Amino acid sequence: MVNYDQNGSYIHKLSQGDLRIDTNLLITLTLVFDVFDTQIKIDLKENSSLIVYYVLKEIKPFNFTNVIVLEKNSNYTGYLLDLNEGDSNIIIEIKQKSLSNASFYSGIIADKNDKKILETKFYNEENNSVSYQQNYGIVRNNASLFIKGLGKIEKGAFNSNNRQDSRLIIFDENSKGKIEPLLFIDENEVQASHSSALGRINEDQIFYLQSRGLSKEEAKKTIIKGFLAPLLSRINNYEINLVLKEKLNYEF
Amino acid sequence: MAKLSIKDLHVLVGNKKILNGINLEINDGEVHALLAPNGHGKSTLLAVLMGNPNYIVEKGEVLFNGVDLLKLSVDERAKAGLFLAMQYPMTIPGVSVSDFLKSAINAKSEKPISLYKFIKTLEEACQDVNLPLDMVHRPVNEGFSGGEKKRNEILQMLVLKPSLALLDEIDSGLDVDAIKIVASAVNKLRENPLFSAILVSHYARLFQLITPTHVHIIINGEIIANGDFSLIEKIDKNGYDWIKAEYGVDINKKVLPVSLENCGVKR
Ligand SMILES: Nc1ncnc2c1ncn2[C@@H]1O[C@H](COP(=O)(O)OP(=O)(O)OP(=O)(O)O)[C@@H](O)[C@H]1O
Ligand SMILES: [Mg+2]
Repeated sequence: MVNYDQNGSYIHKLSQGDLRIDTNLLITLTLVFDVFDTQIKIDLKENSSLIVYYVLKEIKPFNFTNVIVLEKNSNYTGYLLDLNEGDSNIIIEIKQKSLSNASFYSGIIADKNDKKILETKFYNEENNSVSYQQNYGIVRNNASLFIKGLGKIEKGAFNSNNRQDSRLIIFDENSKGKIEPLLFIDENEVQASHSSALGRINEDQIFYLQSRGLSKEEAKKTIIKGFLAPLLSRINNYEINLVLKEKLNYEF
Repeated sequence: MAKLSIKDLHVLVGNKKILNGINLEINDGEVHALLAPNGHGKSTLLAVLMGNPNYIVEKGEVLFNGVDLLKLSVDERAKAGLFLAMQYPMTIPGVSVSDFLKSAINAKSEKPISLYKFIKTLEEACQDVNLPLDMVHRPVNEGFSGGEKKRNEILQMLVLKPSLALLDEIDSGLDVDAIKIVASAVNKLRENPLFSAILVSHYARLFQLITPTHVHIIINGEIIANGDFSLIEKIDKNGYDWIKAEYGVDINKKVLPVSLENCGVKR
C-alpha cells in the first residue's frame, strides 16, 4: 500500500497494489505501466483531490483493472491514452460516496488486428455524486474496439448525475467498433444521460489533405489528431506528451 | 513537350460516364479558362487530374512534365506541383489551418521550415487574401463562411506555390471586393512565368480580372469549342443556347446511369 500524505505531483511505476490519498490532499499522479497484468485500487479519503495520468508503455497484451473509491467530497479526474500496439482490456470501476466528483477521459487507438476493450463502471452510491466520462476511440486496419460504459445510480443517491459521452471512428470495412452504454437508475431525483457517436472516416477529407501533399498515412494521422483534439487539449503531462509525439507525431 | 497533356480522357463516376474524351494541352505560363453549364464535367476533370479516388479513368492518358500523372498518388501529384482549389472545400475538425499548412509545406520540402519563416509566410499570405491572421488557428474550414473557405483555398495556394493550379469556381460566393482580392492573389503567382492554371468559373467577371490565354467550352464531358476571350463574352451575353445551332451538340442530352437504362429495358 502506498500512502500519499503530502500534496504534490508523483510519478509512479506500477504493477500491483493499493494507493491511498489522505484527507484534504491535492495530488497529481502519473502512473506508468510496464507490466501486462495490473490491478490497482485507489482510495480517495474525504475532501481529497486526485488527477491521474495513465501512461501505457509498449506492453502487450495489456490487462488493467483500476478500482477507485471516492469518499465524501473527494474529486477524481483520470486521463488514459492507449495508443499501444497489441490487445488491451481496461476496466475502470468507480464507486462514489456523497458529494464526490469523478471524471474520466480516454482516447484509444485500435490498429493492426488489435482487439481492445474499455469497460467503465460508475457507481453513484450516495447522494449528490457526479460522474462524467468521455471516451474517444479509433479503429483501423482490421482491429476491433468495444467501449462498454455502465452507469448505476443506487437507491438513496438522490441528486446524483451520471453522464457519458463516447465517440468512435472506424477507418475501414474490416475494422469493428461498438459502443454500449448501460444505465441503471434506482433513485428518482437524478440526472443521467449518454451520447454515442459512431462514424466512418470521410474519404473526401483524406483526399483534401493528400491534395496538399500529405501522404495517405499522414492524412489519416492528421484526421486522428483532429478527432482527439478536444481530449488532447485537456491533457498537460510530460510523459503522455512523449507518447503522443512518438505515436502521432503530435507537436505541442 | 507540353507541361500538361490530356489525351482522350474518359471518366466514370459510379456507373455514370462523365468525361467523354477530353483533349487538352497546357504549357508554362498559360491560363486556360474552362466553361460549361452545370453538371457537364468541369469539377470532374479537375478532380481526376488531382487523383480523387471517386473518379474512375476508363480510358486516356495524362502526362505532366512527361510523367504519367494517372500513375501517381494524390500526394505525389501535389509534390509534383499540382494544386486543386476545390469548389466545396472540406472541413477538418480539430486540425488548425496553420498545423495543416505546416505539414503540407514540410511534406513538399527536404527539411522542415523554420518557425520564423513559416510565420512570415503565413502573415504574407493572410494579407494577400485579406484574412485575419488569427483565422489560421481555427480548424480547417470549420464554421468558415463560404467566402472565407474560398480565400482559405487561395491562401493555401499562395503558401504552397504550385506550378499548375486547378481552380474550381474560386469566385463563387465571393463579394465584389473579395473577387478582386482572390484574382490579384492568382495574378501574383502568374508573375512567375512558369505558373499555369486551369480556371473554372461561370462568370466573365473573374476572367476579366484573371485574363486567360485560352478558353474552352465543355459540353457533355467533351471540349466542343476552343477560343479566346470573345467566347467568354458570347456565353456571358447569350448563355449556352447558341451552342446547338453552331456545333450541333445537344446540351441537354442527359447521360443516364447504366443501371437505370437497364431498368428501362426490362420495362
Ligand atoms: N459521386 C457521384 N455520383 C454520381 N454522379 C456524380 C457524382 N459526382 C458527380 N456526379 C455527376 O457528374 C456530373 C458532372 O459533375 P461535375 O461536378 O463535374 O459538374 P460541373 O461541371 O463541375 O458542374 P457545376 O457547374 O455545377 O459545378 C453531374 O451530373 C454530377 O451529378
Ligand atoms: Mg463544379
